[in-house]
Amino acid sequence: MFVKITVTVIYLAIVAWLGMLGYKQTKNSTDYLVAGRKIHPFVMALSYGATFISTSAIVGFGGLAGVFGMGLVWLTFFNIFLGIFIAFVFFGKRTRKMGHNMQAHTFPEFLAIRYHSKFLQKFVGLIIFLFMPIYTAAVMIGASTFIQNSLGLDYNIALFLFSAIVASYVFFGGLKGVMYSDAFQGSLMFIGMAILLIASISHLGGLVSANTRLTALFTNPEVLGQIENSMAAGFAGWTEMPTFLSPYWYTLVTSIILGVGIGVLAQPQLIVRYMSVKSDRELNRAIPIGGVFIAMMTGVAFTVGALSNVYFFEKTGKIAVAFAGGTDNIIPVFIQSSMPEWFVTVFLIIIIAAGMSTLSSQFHTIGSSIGRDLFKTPDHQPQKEMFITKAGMLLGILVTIFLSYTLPTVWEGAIAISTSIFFGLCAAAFLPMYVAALYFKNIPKKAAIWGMLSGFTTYMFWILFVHTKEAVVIGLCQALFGVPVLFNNFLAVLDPMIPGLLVSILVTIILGVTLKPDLDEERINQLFSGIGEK
Amino acid sequence: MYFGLSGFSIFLAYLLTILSAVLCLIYGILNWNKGDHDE
Repeated sequence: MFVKITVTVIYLAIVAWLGMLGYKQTKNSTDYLVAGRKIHPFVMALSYGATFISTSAIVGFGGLAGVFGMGLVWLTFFNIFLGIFIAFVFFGKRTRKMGHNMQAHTFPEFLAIRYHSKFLQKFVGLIIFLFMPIYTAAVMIGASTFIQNSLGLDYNIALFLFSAIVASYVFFGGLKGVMYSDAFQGSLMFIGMAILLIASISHLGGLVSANTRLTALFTNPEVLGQIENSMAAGFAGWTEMPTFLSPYWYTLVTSIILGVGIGVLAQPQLIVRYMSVKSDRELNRAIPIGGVFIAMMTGVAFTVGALSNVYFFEKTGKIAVAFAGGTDNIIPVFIQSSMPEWFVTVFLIIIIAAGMSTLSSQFHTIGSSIGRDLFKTPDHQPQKEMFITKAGMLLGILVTIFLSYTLPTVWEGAIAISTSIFFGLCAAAFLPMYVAALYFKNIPKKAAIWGMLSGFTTYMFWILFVHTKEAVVIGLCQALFGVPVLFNNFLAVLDPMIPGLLVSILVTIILGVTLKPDLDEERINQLFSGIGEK
Repeated sequence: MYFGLSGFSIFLAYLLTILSAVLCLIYGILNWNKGDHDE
């Protein structure tokens, strides 16, 4: 206990020092919001990776792999191919150049200047401010659950401690301070996960042996009694995808793999990072670092999460979720019970790093959505803007703490559900408009705005009245129509992102083709200056 | 069985994951000094 606390304090001191280094170099809002646009590619790539991968991915989705099995590795593929390669090559380069051309500092500001619409900036800023705390709560729950298990504390005390650390950290720095410490935290995360992979595999007697025993678990008579309900819903084993079109399949494929896998392309806190480097060369150099980093982080978390079933069954006769007492406890309990004490200490630091590096950017985005996008002062008073930004951050932190107390009591596996809600919403509301902004010069403003509004409305309708996971908890459908959900078929397990994104794409295309371009051509040409030219 | 995995789709997911990481590496190496510009 004493060693754990000492190591944690030393680690926090290093992070604070790196944050202060960046803070001292933060002289204006460009430094604060896009890190002066001169960040080193190694720092940018690791910062992007450390922001992308949080305790939600390691604890929440790693635990989910303990329940659903290795099918989650499809999400790792999407994370690398879409979240790094496609994101940087086809989105990052154009966003960086256009963001520089228009001097945008936030994602809502980027869309507002591109489409010449103040409404867009305020509406997108409002969506971020209202819904991002659901995702920040997922990250907060992940870190608090691990601290709870590792230090033997009550969950509420762990949550309070971690919130205090994060709150004191995010109030300094701005993006410049955050990106340096992100890179340090990302390096630690990479080393920690590499050790976890090697230790877990050797602990279980080699990769093929561990996989074979995991495959055999599904037909073990002692296990069958523990997975009856899962099998009825389509579970087909930890090394097999769920039965095609079963409820398990819909949840894994539409909510987890596609919802999060596609949603990453429209994450405001990641998009702003493209604008933090000075040329495409930095983005080219960030791609290999990002790709390997994501493979190591989520690939290891999902593999270890699934294989933990072998460890728990051979030690206790129970599968992972039964022994750990819930999806979100699987990774913390596995590390606590299977790894030597020194590694538990190391992993505690990894978890705090993964949580802080993501939360700092999330609160940064929430704060700027208020200070920069919703209530920007017309007379450009930097001090006033900074005050409103920090007030927005504080409000975001308080809402997050409240959600972190309540969500685990509402959902089993709250981390993954909360994360996929925000990622899915971003895809449904922002993605078609964002793609059009980068690739279709003549897209009418109305097509972009109505595409976003239709995607957002469809997504919210689905969450309130159709998708069982959220609709039953919210209870509005029950209150209005006397039934928990409107449809008692596959639609009840189809993730809201799928209909939301489809409607948004259709509306954007139909209006884009039928309406006349309504934006000033010369202005658009200036925004596209240097894009698509060889 | 594929390396102890019963499902081909799981094996395919691992294979595509590794190939994607390799794609990122190759792209980064080939374009290491390209795209240098941003008056």
